Amino acid sequence: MKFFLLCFFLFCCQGAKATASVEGFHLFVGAGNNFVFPSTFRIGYQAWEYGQLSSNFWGAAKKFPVQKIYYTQMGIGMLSVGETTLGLSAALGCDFDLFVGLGFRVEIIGEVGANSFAGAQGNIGLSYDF
Amino acid sequence: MTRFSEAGVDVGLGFNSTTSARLRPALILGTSWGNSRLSAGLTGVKSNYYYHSSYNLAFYKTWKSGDLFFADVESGLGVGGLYSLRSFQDEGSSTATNKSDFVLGPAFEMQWLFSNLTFLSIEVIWGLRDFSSHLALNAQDVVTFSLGVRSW
Repeated sequence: MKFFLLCFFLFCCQGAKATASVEGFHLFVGAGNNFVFPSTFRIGYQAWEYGQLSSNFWGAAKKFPVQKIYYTQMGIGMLSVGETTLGLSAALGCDFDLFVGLGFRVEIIGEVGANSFAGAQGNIGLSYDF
Repeated sequence: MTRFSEAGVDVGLGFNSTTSARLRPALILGTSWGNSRLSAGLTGVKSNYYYHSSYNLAFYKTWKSGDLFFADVESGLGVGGLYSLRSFQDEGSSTATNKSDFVLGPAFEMQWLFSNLTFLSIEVIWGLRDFSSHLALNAQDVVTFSLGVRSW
């Protein structure tokens, strides 16, 4: 998974034209580590996204466009690893516009919990801007 | 208003994924100048039978991303590495088993500066140690969380 994500990042560096969208309603559905699907399912409006941020993290996250298709994202929510605790997440990703609102999106998300868990996950999937 | 372009040092306490789910404190030290930041962290544990020490270092180019709940958010992208050393000596054994790991790769961090002095930080080092492991879908990430104080 991580190898594919790296390749995709490098591919995107070559000539992205779109911009990481933070406007209107959008959707992101993707698979995570070991291609577990769905590992993320988010509904977004403007800069905010809500739902399953990773396979064990539910919450809300704010997206910060960087340039072209890249973004960083920080969120808070509930982390369920062993027990359910308050958690914080940070992500780096890119959302490559394919056609008519449909995008190919990958990201790596780091998550930490109040129970001292820390881990990361790669997400790869499709986004759609309504 | 938080300032982003001046030199400063920061000190943080937190935890690291190398000792994940065990409450082992990590010390994170950083220095920033201009839009650059150097961060170093160390954590470890020792008992009568084993010890485990981890050291990570990362360099970031940083920028102001925006705000989250009225507090500034700063992001950084760069490279980082981790060196981890652990040893185990079983009861009754005269020799210890030693192992070490080294990972290196892209890294990013996000800091949530909820006051002019204090911040929450998440650092992720994307370890590229072994591509065959990536193809086998094994993660090698190092995630560090810290609650820190920054002085300018």
